[in-house]
Amino acid sequence: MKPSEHEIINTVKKLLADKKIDLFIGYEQGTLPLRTSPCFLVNPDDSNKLIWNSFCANNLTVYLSRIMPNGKNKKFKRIGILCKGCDSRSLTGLIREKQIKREDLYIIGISCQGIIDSRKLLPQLNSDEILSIDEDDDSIIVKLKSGEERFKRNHYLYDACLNCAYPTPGEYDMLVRTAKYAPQVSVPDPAVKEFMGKPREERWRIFEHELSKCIRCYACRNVCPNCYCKECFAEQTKPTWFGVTSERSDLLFYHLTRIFHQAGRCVDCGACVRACPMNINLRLFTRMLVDEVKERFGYEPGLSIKEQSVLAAFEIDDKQEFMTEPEKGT
Amino acid sequence: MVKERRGSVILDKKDFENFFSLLAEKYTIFGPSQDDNGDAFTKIDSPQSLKLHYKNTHLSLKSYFFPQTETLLTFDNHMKITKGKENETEEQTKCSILFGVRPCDATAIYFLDKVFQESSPPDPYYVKRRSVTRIISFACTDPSSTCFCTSVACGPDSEKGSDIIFFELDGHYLVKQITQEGEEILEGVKELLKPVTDKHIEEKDRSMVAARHKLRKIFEVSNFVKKLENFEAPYWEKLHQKCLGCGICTYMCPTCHCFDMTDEVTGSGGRRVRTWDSCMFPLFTLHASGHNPRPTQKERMRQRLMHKFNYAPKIFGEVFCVGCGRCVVHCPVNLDLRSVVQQIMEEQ
Amino acid sequence: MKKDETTIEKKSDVSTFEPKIVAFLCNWCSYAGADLAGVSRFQYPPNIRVIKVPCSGRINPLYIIKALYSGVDGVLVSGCHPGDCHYISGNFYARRKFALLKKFLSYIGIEQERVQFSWVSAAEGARFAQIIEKVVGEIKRLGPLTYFCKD
Repeated sequence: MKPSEHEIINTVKKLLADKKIDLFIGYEQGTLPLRTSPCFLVNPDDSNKLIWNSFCANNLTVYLSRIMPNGKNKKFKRIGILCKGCDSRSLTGLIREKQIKREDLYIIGISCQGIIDSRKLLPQLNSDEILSIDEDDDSIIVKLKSGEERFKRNHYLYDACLNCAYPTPGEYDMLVRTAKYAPQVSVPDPAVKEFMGKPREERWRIFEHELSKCIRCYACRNVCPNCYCKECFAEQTKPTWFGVTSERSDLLFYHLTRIFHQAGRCVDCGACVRACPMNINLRLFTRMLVDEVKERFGYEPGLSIKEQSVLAAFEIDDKQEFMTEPEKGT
Repeated sequence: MVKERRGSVILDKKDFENFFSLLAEKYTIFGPSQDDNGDAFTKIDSPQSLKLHYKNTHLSLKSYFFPQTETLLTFDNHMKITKGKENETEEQTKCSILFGVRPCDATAIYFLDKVFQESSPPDPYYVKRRSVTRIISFACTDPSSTCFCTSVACGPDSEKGSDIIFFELDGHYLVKQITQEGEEILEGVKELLKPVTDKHIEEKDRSMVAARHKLRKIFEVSNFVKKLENFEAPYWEKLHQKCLGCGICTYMCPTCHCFDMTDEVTGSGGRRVRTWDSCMFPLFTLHASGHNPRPTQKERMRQRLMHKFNYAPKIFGEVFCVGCGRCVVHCPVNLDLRSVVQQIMEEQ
Repeated sequence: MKKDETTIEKKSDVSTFEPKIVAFLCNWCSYAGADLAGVSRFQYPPNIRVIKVPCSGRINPLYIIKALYSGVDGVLVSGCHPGDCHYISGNFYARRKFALLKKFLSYIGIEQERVQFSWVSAAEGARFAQIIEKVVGEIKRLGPLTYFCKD
């Protein structure tokens, strides 16, 4: 067991035993190769189930606004949670938007080296039986039935992890430092830049084609920590914004709006892309707003619990170059 | 041991192209295509485009008979009502064949037939599509690690729902006719078919034993059905915790068939549409009064399992799960149905 | 089953196409400005359908998207000049929302000219007419919006 895993298990055991927390949300071993699964612990003895590795993908903060609706905790007085860098930004966002209270949480932060995309790695294993998986700073070491294979970590990370600027949580009660990590500066996503350079018709064609794969399972919405609305616009009937069908116009309406609802709030954790069963590249569209908000307003959500939402604030001299002016000389 | 020969014939692999061409004269053929790597069924024009060595399609085949969006009727503001879509084209003259269906998916169609076709009254939209479609399935020789058909009274050679089933042998296919419609199809290609021998039967049996060996039987579903009689069992409190309440398991599942009907109004009229719905969504049972009899994910998760494994056997005589494993593979939080069943079985 | 419906955008004959444009006008400035344009008999194209809102800050991006989905060819949102909002800061908040929405719609491939924002004060009747002239002209040149509306 790695030292970080050990540290997490012991900490959680003690927290639960001392009744400092009533529930801990962490990761346990999944039932599929290269997968982990969220787990909910109330019993200190169950802490041994907890794991930490480069497959701990899920953004666990999505459960917080469900378990503690609007800060009025019903069942649990204090909840412990394991957060990676992106998760802690989501969590900070929930605090900023008054969905949870900081004092109701015990945050175990863990600095993340990037999460491995099982959809990228699994095809490399040729359906061979996996006997065990290990990792070091550099590689993932997979023991297959046919032998051992090493995969360079950086080649198999999630796209969201490739452009991650905040691998270490900013908000925590306890920080578990894994081995070396390098904080980066957030840069505009290269895929977004490339997309912007395409002609308009092609951009629309790609947007339409990509999102036409959607089966409206709402996994992207349900897995997103920011989507905590009691009544989603997609299901509103007073008024009914758009149809319930899986036809193109309805799919585009849903996605366009949901992505726009994330403007200034999305931390690019990648949970939506991970969850999508049709492998839609949602990040190509969500990331654009992340970059635009940074460029235009100098704002990145989730860095401080004292921050203000970007759309709930304004500057007198906000840029307004996009406004329509009448033709000169008319 | 009497070896099952009745209705079985042999088709040599070298005759497959001719077989396909003869079929294609009378039927429109849909199958797993090379272009999609077997992920979806598309119209197949030549046997080379078929990808028969595939695990299973990404989405199930229920949308062939029960599409995700279906216009039930259209109306205009002169009170004229048209059943189905406006300007709907005439009935197709050729029947279709879904070729290369996996036995689990074919069994699922058999279950959906019970819901939509054998109900009273039958669903005309479903029946219209189903009555012109034949199913030729391909037995599984290489199941996925996530398949668990043998745990739910299905199997790599399940015949329910298929008109014909193909078994791959060395250099041949063992072709078994299951229904009257299957017999009609085989009549049209009888010059290509050869009689089956005991050796063929043995080879087929061996390959099925090998396939079943790969499919570990994880639980005995009939025991699980009985276990679920305890509606108020305490284990429901914990089982749902991970569940996010999305619709992935429902929409990927080949037997899930719940739907919603909505009226949409356009400027000069409107239509009534039927769309897939999921019991995992909170709105599924939300009453107009605001009351929801399944208020939390606990009740909804319980409903899903009870419907599939307890109510369906009572109503339709079948457990509504074929063990295809799609819900297991695609659940974003890895809430594994197989583990849930095992957990419940272990509880008192 | 594949969902393969890439639409073909039809550019109809410019001379006969009359776009339908929804104009969300804030009650205190832009609506009054439009009124002044009418009273002053400034001619402007009749293609806009006005929806009066109390403040440009009231505009939920959903209204704009719903308008496009319902089949209009363009949307104009007009409010008070920054600093002159009747509700002090409504248009400041709106400005941020509009900036992001405009950028986003343009990014995914909807023509820039279809969704426009302007500041028109209650005294600017002529300016209002000029802006409508410009917006209608631009959208007329683009043709009908066929690729987003409910089929």
